[in-house]
Amino acid sequence: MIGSLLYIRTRRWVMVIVISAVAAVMIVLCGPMNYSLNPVYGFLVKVAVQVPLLPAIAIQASLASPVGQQEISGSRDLGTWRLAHVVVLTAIAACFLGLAGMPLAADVVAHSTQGSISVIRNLLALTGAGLIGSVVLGPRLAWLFPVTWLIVPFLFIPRPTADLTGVLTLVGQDDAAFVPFVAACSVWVIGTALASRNSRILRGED
Amino acid sequence: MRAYVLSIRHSSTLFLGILIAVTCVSLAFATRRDGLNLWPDLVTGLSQSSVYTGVLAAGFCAWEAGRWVGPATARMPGAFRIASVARIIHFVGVVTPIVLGFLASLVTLAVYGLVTGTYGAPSLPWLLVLVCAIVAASALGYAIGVVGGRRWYVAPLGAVLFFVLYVLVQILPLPYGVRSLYPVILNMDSEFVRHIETTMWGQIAAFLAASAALLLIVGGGWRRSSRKHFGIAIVVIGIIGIGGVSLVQSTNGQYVTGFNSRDFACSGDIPEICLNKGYVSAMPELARRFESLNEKSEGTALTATLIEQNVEGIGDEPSANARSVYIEGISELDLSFAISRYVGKYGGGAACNLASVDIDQDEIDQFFAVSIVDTWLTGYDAAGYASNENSEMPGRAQFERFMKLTPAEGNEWLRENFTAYSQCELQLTDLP
Repeated sequence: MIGSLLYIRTRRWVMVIVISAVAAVMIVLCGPMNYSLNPVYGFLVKVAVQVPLLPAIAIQASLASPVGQQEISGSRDLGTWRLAHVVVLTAIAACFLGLAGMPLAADVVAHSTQGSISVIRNLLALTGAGLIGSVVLGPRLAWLFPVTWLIVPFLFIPRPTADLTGVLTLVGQDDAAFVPFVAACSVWVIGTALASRNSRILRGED
Repeated sequence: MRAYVLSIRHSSTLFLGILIAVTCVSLAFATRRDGLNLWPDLVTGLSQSSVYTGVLAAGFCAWEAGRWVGPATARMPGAFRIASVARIIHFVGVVTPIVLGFLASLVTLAVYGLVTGTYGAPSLPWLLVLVCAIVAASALGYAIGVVGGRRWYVAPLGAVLFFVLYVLVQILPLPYGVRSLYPVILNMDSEFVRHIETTMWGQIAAFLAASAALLLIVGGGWRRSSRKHFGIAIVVIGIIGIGGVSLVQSTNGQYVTGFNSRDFACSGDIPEICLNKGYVSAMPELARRFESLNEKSEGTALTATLIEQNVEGIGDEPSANARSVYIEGISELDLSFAISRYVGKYGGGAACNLASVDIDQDEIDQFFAVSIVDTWLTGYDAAGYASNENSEMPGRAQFERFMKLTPAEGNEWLRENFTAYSQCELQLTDLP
């Protein structure tokens, strides 16, 4: 029990949960998740689906330990704890963001194409990318992976519909896009598995 | 000098410099238009990459600033009249590889341009603006890193904050001149425009002044020991910054204005087509389409004899006896659209006005009647009959019949009805 509490305190769970809640509020502030109802010509819908970047980076960054070197040299294997850490925080963030992204009745009537599923899918994909980044580049530069996925494809692919598989422009795809959803789940599973087995991600502040 | 060299050697931004070089070159190539080889397209890619390179620079510099602590570095500020100078030297060391990465991408593109004969030339102030935008983004990240130190969230905060601010600048109803002061350059370069260099020099001054002011403040220069020199430096930077902002505001942040370069290559007899040399690859297909148009419109005022590319888009001034055609790209669709715009300007479409509030059924019929003729002439279905097959658009039956006419049959009909067509007085019942 003491171990669990210590783990939670060193991994800034409260901060991550607060960031997830703030992200959910930001999605709500972006207005209805529907292009015909959203202000600024639907531009805020595009912004809303990018908001999961914040909790994704927070979840990834929170895995790093302020006493990483001691934990690495310690006898206890923290792999399962890291797995639980990612699963629980992702679930909490998904609940917050999913509720915030849920289409209102008016949106459903106006046939919303992006809502809770898009937001949760983007959270999974960006969190997974961040976790893979933390294994490849270390925890303090891991944000590079999700940020790159979020920005770069849109600079050379004019519209999400021009992306054949929808994986590159995953963040901008509709709820119904199947391949991007599978890709997001896969990236999250791979990232979580790598993060739980690799102690390099502990060395955040050493 | 030694501190500067050490800053570079210990910096992770060497990796970032390479990443920025690869990103800029890749995006410059990715934004080229099919079949065209123009410097403005490459510069557009470079400009667009400033969103991503700014985010990267802010994040990396936040990290570098945060980890620049230790007993030796703590003593450094005391060695300078203004304590911030130690930080500024470190910042310059950190940002040097980033700027070199960008310059490496420019050299790569320049070599590519020389080898492949890329048309045009990049604007030097524009490129300087892009460099200064990266420096300003780096300074923002660096300031966050100085304040945040080695905390776990510093690097991502630098990157995410830069991106969030960019999004806010896009969303908020800000004047264009204010938007231009954010160090992301998204204005598209365009091939036949005169650059407003005032804006660019203003941005350069504003970005550099903002960077220097940020570094002076977060570097602790305001401390009592160096307050006098700090005050002088801030005043100088303030004057430069205000001057830069004023220049940008004076042009409302605009970069370009219409300009007809008339660097033409001409080909053909009737019609003779003159295109800017960067577009000559469009010549054969465009000539074929104009010949087809001339065959259908023979004997009417729509027949093209001398065509000049409208090289500024808006407010063109073709030479005497010439007509203009506006080309956005050279794909099949682009050229089809170019012919459609030509017919829209010199045919009946120009006389049709559906902008009025009081539109009656006759005017709607006239609009669709002219649209059907235009579609037959150009092959470009502007009214959308083909894409709305199941809808009950006015004149669908006439559209189906008109599209089956041979050039000779249609031409005979057009010559008989050209006056009504050109004045937008054609009714759907007039169509064969």
